[in-house]
Amino acid sequence: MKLLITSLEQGLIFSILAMGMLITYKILDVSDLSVEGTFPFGAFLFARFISIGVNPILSTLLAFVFGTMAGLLTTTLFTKLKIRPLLAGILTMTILYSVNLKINGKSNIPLFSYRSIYDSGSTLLILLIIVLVVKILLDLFLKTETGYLLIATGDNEALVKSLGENSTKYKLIGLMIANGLVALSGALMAQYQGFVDITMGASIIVVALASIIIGDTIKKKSTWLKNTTRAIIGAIIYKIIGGIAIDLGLNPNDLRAINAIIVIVFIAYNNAASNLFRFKGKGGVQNA
Amino acid sequence: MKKFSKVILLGLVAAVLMTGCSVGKSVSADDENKFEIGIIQLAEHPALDDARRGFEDGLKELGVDVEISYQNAQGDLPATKTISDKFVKDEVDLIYAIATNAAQSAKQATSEIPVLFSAVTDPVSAELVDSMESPGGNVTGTSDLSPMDRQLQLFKDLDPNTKKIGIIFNTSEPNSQVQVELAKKIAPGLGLEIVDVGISNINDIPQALDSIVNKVDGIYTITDNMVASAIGLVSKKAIENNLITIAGEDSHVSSGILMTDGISYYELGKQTARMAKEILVDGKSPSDIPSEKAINTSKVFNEETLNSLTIDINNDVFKDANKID
Repeated sequence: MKLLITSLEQGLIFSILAMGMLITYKILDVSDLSVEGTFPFGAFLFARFISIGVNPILSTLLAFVFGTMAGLLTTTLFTKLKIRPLLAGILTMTILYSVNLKINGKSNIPLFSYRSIYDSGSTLLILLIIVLVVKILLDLFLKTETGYLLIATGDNEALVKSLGENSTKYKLIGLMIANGLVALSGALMAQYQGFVDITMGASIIVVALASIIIGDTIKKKSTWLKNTTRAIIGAIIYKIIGGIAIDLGLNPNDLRAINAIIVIVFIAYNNAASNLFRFKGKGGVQNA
Repeated sequence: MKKFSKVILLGLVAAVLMTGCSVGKSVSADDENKFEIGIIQLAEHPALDDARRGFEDGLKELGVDVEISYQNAQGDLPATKTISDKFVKDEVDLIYAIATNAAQSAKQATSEIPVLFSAVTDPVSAELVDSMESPGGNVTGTSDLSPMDRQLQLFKDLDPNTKKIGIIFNTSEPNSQVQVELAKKIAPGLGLEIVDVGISNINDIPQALDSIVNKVDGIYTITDNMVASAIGLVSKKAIENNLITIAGEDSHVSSGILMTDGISYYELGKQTARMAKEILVDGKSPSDIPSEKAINTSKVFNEETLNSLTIDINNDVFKDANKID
């Protein structure tokens, strides 16, 4: 049971990462690879603030606020300097690596002696509350005019421009919020694992994308399941699967491969299921 | 289609229940004397593997009856947390954590189960222990900080004209930063100067090497996980440029570095096994066991490299040194 709770907790932390990735990857259709740098960026920022005496809640919020700067950087690179978004994200990630080392001067910062946001109660409960708050705020934002224009920018940029709106402005807002969320997730992870390390961001993009894709396979047809909910469920399922793999005591060398295989199985199911659905529909028309 | 998704869901729930309900492998009555140890290793590479093997062999030699559960996090930090939590759930008698991040995760996961670490260069700044002499908690272990002064001295013993020493290190590893700074502190006293190159990716090593081979008289390889993975390349380039190489640990020498007067991770593992016996069998508390640096160091050299660099084996330096296989 404890292992299930651990997986759930990690799933909740990564669900915020997934929601951030949702904005860039799914809604805006921009591949922002800077997450590998922004995730630890949030963690290092948190470490800096908590070490100078700021309380954990404020430090975590500040990590979100400064994290949005990463989005600002990436957007500036691809709008002002006309660098392709994919490369812009990679460049931001690379710059953040050095920035992260500079923030505290070290690549590994233990947090054992500082307070954390989880001190005031059950970690699981606190994470549930945080995730719900983030989800509700994000859902509300996407229903505002700005939110709708953001979604529209991702769907049909030409349409947005024809309305006389600056599509770049919405990309900027989207990327800033997304990176802020990724940084927030990093700060929460740091407090959860008890230390900050420069390697925290490695392979994090796999976790984010896998969460989104897994979330998509759940009841594909239903429209009431919002994409933010899907991202959360996807992240939790992904982490639970990882937890099962570890708990089964499988050969440690195969751990990563097994995680990847599980993701492949889900994606394959996703594709097979949608094909089956189309086939059923076609049969009906042909027989008529 | 609905049936298919139901089956998958059921399968998932079943798997979760199965693992959730496998409540801590309860030790049965006749296993009472067997101790359960959970080993968490950060990543795969020779030094960490040696630390693990040394620990397991050491326990065997000391006659401690153990059942070992070994998990490797493959460098994935969240996995270190999951593995640590798993060991806590399984109610193991001791956790053996190899490398700093693994030990930090273990410390975060439990303040009751004894945790022994190894292959951690600076346990104090990693906040694993309050101090080496009085760890003050449930965590203690062995540090792999090598006798750098003895090793740097070897450069001068082999060639008194050596002045500049090159060091390549991984900026992502806190232990490496510690060692580079230590080297820079010791070097002037030995009449040496350190030229350091920091890299963040293993693919940068060839360029980093090329940038220093013309500037230095020798290369010193610190105990850095990334350098350890590419040690063959380092020694090859050094030989091509006729540079003396000295290593921080003996697994580098097996892969081609000329020599070291240093620690053996295998022996360090055995040293940690002794601490494990004190905790499990003698009932000592980790806070009463001071953390240790490597007790034994040994001089080993690589004969092939020696010949390639055309160094005189009759040099005094090799008197008490052993050839490495």
